[in-house]
Amino acid sequence: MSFQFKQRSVLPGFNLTLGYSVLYLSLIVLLPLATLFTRAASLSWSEFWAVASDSRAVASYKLTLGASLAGALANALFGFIVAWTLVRYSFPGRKLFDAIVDLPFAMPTAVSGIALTAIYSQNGWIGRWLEPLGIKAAFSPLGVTIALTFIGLPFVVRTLQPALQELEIELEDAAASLGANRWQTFRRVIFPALFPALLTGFALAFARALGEYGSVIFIAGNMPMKTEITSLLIIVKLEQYDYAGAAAIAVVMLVASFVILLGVNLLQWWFARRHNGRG
Amino acid sequence: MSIELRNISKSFGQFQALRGVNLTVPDGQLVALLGPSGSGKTTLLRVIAGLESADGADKPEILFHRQDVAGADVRSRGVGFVFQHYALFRHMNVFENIAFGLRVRPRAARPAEAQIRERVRELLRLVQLEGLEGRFPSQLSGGQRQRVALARALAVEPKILLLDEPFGALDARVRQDLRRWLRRLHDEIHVTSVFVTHDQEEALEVADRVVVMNKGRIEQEGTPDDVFHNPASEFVMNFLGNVNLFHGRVEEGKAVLGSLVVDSPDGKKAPGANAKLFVRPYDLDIRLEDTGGLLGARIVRIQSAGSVVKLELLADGEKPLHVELTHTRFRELKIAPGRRIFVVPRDARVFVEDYTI
Repeated sequence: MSFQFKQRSVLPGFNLTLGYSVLYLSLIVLLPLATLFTRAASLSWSEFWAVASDSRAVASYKLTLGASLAGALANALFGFIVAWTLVRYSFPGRKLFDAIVDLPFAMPTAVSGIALTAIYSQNGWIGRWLEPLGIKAAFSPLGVTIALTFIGLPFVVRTLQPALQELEIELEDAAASLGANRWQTFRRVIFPALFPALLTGFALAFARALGEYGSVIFIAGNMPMKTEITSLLIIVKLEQYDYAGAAAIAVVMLVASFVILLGVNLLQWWFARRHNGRG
Repeated sequence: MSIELRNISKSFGQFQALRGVNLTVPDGQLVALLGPSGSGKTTLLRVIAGLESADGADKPEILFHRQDVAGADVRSRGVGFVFQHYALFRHMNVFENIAFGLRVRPRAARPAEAQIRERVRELLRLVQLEGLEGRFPSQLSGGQRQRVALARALAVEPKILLLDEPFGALDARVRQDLRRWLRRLHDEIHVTSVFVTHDQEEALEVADRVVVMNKGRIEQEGTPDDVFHNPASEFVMNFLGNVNLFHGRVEEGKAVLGSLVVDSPDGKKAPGANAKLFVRPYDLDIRLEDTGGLLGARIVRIQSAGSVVKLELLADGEKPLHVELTHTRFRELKIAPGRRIFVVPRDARVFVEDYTI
């Protein structure tokens, strides 16, 4: 009988690689998540709803989602500018500047939290100038947003950089020779070409912000109903040995972030289909 | 619309890409800028387009139809530019790529949607891509992309069309078809066009006029016949096809190269100077007997598959020579590799070196 190879490749066969991928994903991702669901399932439906829709929990969802979204949006804008500067211009210290972008990745989150708090508190370097303007940076939702912006920056810059490097300058010349002004060139040529990468960077920064703990708790002040993020609320529950309650809140966050990331992926898929004729 | 260039210089850091170029392109002609890489041809094209600005001590002048446009930027010069790698917008389909130039016009000058459709359809017919308007650049072949780029440039009704290595990235067969097509297209639309190429065959076949460039200067300018049959310099002679080179001296108005003696009108000016003799492979004939003043050689290889018979010879003094014979002449001679024969130039160009040592 005839046996057909799908495609010759140096790597071992499809069965082995798929089997490995499934096992790995199960052990590292799915199994812990499943435990979370079983923990939460130890509560009855009404108990679960009571914990999940508790006003303190709802306030924390709002803060976490809102501040993460604001942080990711700020990063999408400023990360774009940083990536553009790094790719398009050469200036003394560019390599150093490039390395600094990664610092939020590398620093222990608690360290960044303490540093941010020191700067943005009432008598910190920046906080002391904001205070007279009536802006309270540290120990407020604004502080949470600042911390989440800080940790998300590298995601946007690092995903945009390769896309920007691939974007030929000739495209801009072409647009100009066809009569497009700078704004039209940006809006019709550059931005659509970079949008998929920007969206990926935004989604990564957003996802990272949703789960952030260390850098936020110092600058947030952690006042229930006001500046308490969901991750902290879960820790609080755990400290009170309320494992089921912690799991219930975690499940809500998990489902919410999954839905949002799925939405981002769908948007990306739709965009790719529309603009490249491919799925 | 004619193009006139005066005192065009351009340097990139230490590198001088253009050194005081003067050039006139007559209205409605198709002109080739021909030269090796680094000769400044692409830079010159970009200066004409306004994508680079000329520099240098003398005031550069760029005139389109006797109007100075040196101060105008690429947007307002009204040129169509076709880029070497096409620079198509990958996120737009063929239709939107071609319509781009119309859609970005200021509101007052922008045609209505129906007119844009009509214009794009017309251009698709012109470049023979009807039915492909919904495709994306990634779904097209190289030749098709090239034609989309051309249609996109033509959509804005440019007064001048500039093409940078238009066939550079295509394979040999597509290249041949496309350059004949470009010639026909030019005869149809008659827009003043300048294209850059490093392929002499392409330049000679397609263009009305050929401008040969070397090291940022124009070496020669003229019709394809002119530059091919009356090359002004060694460089042009060398660049426009295969050539055999002989070294010798000038004596009494004749160039003497070993046993060969050739007339050289230039030779009277500089007796005793070094002379270089250039002979095209098809201008060398072969004799079976030495009748005096001929160069002896041995046949190394014969390649008779093709429109001409190509011979590789080793002349006395171990000098390799290339000869091309017609099939008729080859059959008359009845020669085979290894045989000793004698070579005589039918036509040659002698370049006398300016300096004597």
